[in-house]
Amino acid sequence: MTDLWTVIWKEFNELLSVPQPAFFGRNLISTPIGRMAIFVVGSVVVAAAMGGSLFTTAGALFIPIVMPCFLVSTFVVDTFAGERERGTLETLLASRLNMQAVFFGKMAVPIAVTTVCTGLAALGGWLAADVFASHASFFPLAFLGTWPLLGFLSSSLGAGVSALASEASSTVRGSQQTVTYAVMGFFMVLVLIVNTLPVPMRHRFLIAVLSINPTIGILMVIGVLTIIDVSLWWVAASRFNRERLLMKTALRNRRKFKSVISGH
Amino acid sequence: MCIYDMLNGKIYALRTGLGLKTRPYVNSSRLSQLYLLSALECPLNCSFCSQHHPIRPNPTREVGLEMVQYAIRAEGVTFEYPGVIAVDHISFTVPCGIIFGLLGPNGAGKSTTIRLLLGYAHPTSGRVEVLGMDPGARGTEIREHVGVVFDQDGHYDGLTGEQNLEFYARVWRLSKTETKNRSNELLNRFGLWDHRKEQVGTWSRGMRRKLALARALLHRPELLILDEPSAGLDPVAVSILHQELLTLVQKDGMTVILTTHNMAEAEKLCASVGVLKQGKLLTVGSPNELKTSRVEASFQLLGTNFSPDLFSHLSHHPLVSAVKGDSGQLHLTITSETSITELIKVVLEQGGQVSEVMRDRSSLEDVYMALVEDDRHD
Repeated sequence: MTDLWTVIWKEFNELLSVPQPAFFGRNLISTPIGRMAIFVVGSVVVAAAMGGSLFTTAGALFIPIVMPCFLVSTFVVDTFAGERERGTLETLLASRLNMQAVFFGKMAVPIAVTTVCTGLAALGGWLAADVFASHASFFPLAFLGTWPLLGFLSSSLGAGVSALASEASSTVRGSQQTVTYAVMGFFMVLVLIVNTLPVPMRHRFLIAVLSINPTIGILMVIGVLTIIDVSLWWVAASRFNRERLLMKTALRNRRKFKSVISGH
Repeated sequence: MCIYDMLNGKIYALRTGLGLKTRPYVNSSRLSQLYLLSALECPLNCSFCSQHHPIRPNPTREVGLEMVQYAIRAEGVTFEYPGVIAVDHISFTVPCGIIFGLLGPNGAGKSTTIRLLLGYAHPTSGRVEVLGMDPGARGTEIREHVGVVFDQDGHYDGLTGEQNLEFYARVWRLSKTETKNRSNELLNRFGLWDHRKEQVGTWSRGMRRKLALARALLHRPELLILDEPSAGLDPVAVSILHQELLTLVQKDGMTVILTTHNMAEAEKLCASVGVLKQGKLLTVGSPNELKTSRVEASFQLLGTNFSPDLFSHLSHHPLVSAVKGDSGQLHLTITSETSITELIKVVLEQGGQVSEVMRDRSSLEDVYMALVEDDRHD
């Protein structure tokens, strides 16, 4: 546990560090704090625009399910592939730290931060929707608990995918591209499958989905996300080892070097 | 103070500081077999005995059970990536308390060798021992006693110099007081104290390199591994770095493994060097041994009447590998140092007048180039 807290301490300090010399002289989204601010403010603006439908439309789940995935992936890719690219990972792994502490410490901070951001977005969204569309009555408070929970599960999903992508690629750019392709591919395959269903079956499927009780629907989403998260994390954690991360990178660099000197 | 090992009948000096740091290493579980000598009893009359330091065994600092004379022992080590032999049957030993240089061109297998020493992977065949331990089985224990600086500094640019050290102090589980004392000591020693609150991302290459060395020394390692330590540093910074390394070895008894492309640096610092190429260890020995082990020798002859006929004659002589010069001087590269007397006779017979004969001293760079070139021709 001490090792885990050590990694969490480092990740937290690094995530919240503001690049010198000037914060506002830089592109806002290049800083983690900037990205968090955009996520929270953007969610509140969307909630205000949606008004009451924020609590009744399935589309509103885009905010606590899809957005945290993207937010967390920027942090996770930076902490895994970014560390390898900057050469800090090799120094870290040359220490006595065990791989589980490094892996879970690196995952914990981005997920915690994203979940807190989702909670803030939920609170801001709830207040905005109440102000703009409640007609003097408050919307149900249960919403405030659901969003952070979904945010936690979806950010765990995004973190798992990003960790796997970062282990496969040695650069931040390569990992980001892999994550983007994976998410796009997932949705494209989903749409493709639905579209290839015979029309009557498709209608029955959509009617069945829409007729699900919202509470049961959310519980189902939570269950599915939990299963996917656990599987992804298990795979990502088992692939996160010194030999794979450092020796295989060395092999890649060696081949790259040989191809450069041989002119191919 | 010193200790008498009843099992081996040997006396060892204890280095002062944290825990049982000895040369060779002694684990606290062997204390029953060890007899502590007081200052008066110690036949070595060493400086350690003049200051009686208490033994404070530290469980996090324990090394192997066996007495270790070599920091590193590699026997027939091979490591293969799929389709690539990165390290090919290398064997070498590094005694404790010296600087050992791993030399070789890019892609020679230096980094892979270091990674094997750190226990990142098992050798495909052969055996490695670091501080008396098998890196494959006890990698974590080895890493507890090793400080490493890779070619990339490995700092977190968003953190300050102080925070970078604090993080690694947490990694090594130093107490808060120890963290503060050790960080302050190292920041002062490397001239970084005034910049400790600045983000490392804003630092110069030289400052970053010094911080990397400070970080590697934070937990008082037994073995220091440095990958290209002086790359990108200005001459003044290089000189300071060299002085620091020599101090670490001479005063603290640390063992240092360094990889470098800078032959002058290797010649100046290393007690022993190994030259790697394409995964093979071409040679290993002290720089002086390597320089004198060259089969070919170079001589400079000063005099007069060195005619074109003489040059032609010498160039076809079986004992001469190369000849150049003018009427006043001759540079001869010959197959054996002892054949110079015979060749001087030849020069005299051909009408040349020799006033002075000088042996050209080859540098480690000459030896290195010859080794690498020879291997390429083979």
